[in-house]
Amino acid sequence: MDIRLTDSQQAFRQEVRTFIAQRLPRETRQSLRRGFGASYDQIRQWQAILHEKGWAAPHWPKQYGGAGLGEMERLIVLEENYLAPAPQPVAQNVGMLGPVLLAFGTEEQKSSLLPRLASGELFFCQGFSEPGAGSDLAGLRTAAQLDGEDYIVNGQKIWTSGAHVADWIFCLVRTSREQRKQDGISFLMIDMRTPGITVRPIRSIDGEHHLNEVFFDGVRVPRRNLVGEEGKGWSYARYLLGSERIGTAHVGLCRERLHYARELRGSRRAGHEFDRDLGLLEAEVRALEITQLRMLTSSQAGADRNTVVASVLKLKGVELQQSITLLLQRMSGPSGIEARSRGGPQSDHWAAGLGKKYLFLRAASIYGGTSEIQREIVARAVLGNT
Amino acid sequence: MNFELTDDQVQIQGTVRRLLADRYSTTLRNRYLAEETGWSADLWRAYADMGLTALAVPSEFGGLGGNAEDLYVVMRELGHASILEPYLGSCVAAATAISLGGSVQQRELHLPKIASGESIFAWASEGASGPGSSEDEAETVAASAGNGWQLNGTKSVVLHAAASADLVVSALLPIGSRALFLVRRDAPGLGLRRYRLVDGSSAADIRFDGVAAELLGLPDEHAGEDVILRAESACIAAICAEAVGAMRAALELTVTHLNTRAQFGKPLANNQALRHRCADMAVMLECSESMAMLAAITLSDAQGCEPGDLSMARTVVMRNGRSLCEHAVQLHGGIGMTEEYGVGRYLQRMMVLEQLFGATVRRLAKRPGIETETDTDELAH
Repeated sequence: MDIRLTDSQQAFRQEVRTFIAQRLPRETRQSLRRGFGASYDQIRQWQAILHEKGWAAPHWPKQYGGAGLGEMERLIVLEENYLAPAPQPVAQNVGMLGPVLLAFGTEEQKSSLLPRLASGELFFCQGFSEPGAGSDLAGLRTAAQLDGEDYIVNGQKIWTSGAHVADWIFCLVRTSREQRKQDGISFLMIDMRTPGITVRPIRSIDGEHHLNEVFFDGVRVPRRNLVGEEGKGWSYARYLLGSERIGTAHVGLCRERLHYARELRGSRRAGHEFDRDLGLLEAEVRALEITQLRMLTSSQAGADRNTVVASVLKLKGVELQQSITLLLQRMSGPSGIEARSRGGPQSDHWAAGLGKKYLFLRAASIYGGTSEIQREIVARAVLGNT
Repeated sequence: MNFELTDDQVQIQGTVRRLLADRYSTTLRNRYLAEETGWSADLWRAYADMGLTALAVPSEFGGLGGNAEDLYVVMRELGHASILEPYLGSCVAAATAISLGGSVQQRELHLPKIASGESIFAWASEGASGPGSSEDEAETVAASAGNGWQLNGTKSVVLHAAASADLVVSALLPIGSRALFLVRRDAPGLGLRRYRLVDGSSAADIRFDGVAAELLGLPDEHAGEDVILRAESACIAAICAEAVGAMRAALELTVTHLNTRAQFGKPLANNQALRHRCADMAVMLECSESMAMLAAITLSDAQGCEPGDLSMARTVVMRNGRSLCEHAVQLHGGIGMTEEYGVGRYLQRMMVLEQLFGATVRRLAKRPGIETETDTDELAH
């Protein structure tokens, strides 16, 4: 056993670290450091910079806007980005739609869309959840009916992050009624400028506007925007959620937040009563990191194993992200409970965004499959199908 | 980067697992516990026949020259069976200390016998020295006496002291640093108070009243402190692996129980509250396994490791191990509380392991070049 990176991997990490240090805009870094999220403009700006190197989607083939790198290199980019801290490229683009297009898209879809997903020129949002279909996603009712060469889409999506700024949305829609509710679902990409789409904001408990409801009223979508085969959308969605062995743990995010907590302790802005939790969390994050590396380098690949691994990493990663942001919020004392947290990302107060971040990350155990769903996946693997 | 076992390691794992599956059932284990020594001399011979007792001994002294990762593989299996034999003190602690710190003569004399299982050494250094043990414990000090040394003081919770003919004892030299000494257990002036620990394993408190002792190594060497830390670091990695084996066993028992026991007309495994606890246990096991591997790697090839990795490993494994075993007892219901059934033995074992080598972790943290702002040992409690 060894946990060394190869020489070339180490050199690559240094290259990424240097690049980020030189190019990351100061305000973006500052904003993340204080606990605020990056604005959509900041995310787009940063993604475009990463794209110069192909690092917005490092593992994609070069012809599609990636850098053709291996999984370990991809992890290095991800983690260095978190550690900076820099915004991550839009997840819907590179973590969700991209892999599905790579696996199931037509050549035309791949060559026209993937480079623009990587560069951030196009910004996709994800239309999966509906008011009546949350964790039980297959209960979705938004319908798409073929009319000549177009689908006509009617229905509603909810919890759609970034729909108010997105250019496109990829949706699961029902194209037929079958006995199994997982059948008859299709995967459709829709231009957000199409007439009949209404976006309504939902303000979340951190006081910000990330989430939306999206209404479809007779929206015409060209047939060529279908991904893969009609009726197979469910399997593409499962692929999307299960194809990732990495990226669910967010080790770098945890580490960066712990560094900030250490800094606050070092400058005596937070007292010694936090030391015990801080030390424990550092040890737990190290365990998460090694677990991620074990999973990444494991020879026991395969889709089922990947799904379980992704669930283990997400469960633990989410638990730690939430514990760490809770710790930071408590460290921030009275400053962290002020409404609007002292005036938004421009504030240079060290505690300005810590309360917000804590509240925002309560969603981490809800989005991308709730922790209860993840536990069910792990339990099925451990207990067998019962 | 690589976390896979080698083919040889997979083979050792299989061999040990088969032996223990045959000869360490709960019934047999209870029989060993009922013996006066509290362990099985037959099993000890079986370990010797397999080469397990020789694992950490260098090959030039009749050993197998295994590294910390080989030990990880074996300790995981020994932990899974929750063995009672004096493996840790003799084959890990003493073997490592004598290999690293012994004079040529001492190594030639003792290591082949440790490797063959003929000699059993107890490790009387830090052992368990938590907050509860310090009051009655007097620091063991060494004073030169004629050509040799004499020890005075006490050591508490020395594992398997009664089973061992020899002891490796740490004591404070007049110059203020610690050194290791070889002591015969039947030496005049050595008093032993034997008892069993909560998991049934044997231990003793030892009093030294002018006991004759032989310095480990040469008189003009002052390497004792380093040898102690390195031997105990090997022990910390070993008990992390042992704990992970115990955790896996507790989870396996729990899974079987949930799948076979029916209540309200359905298997327990159909209840979401229980399934989710089981999932949490699996996550705890994965994270602990990672850290037990990391602990072994810090000893065999520290490149890529971070300062504090060993103590962080101990913290994560002991905390998660305790919690997982508590879950295991709870998910068994009433049967989990019985001595006869055997899931509780893993919880008992975690209570013991958690107490071991805490002071070592504190010392490691104070070594130059290692900065841990937090005393993570405090965290395990």
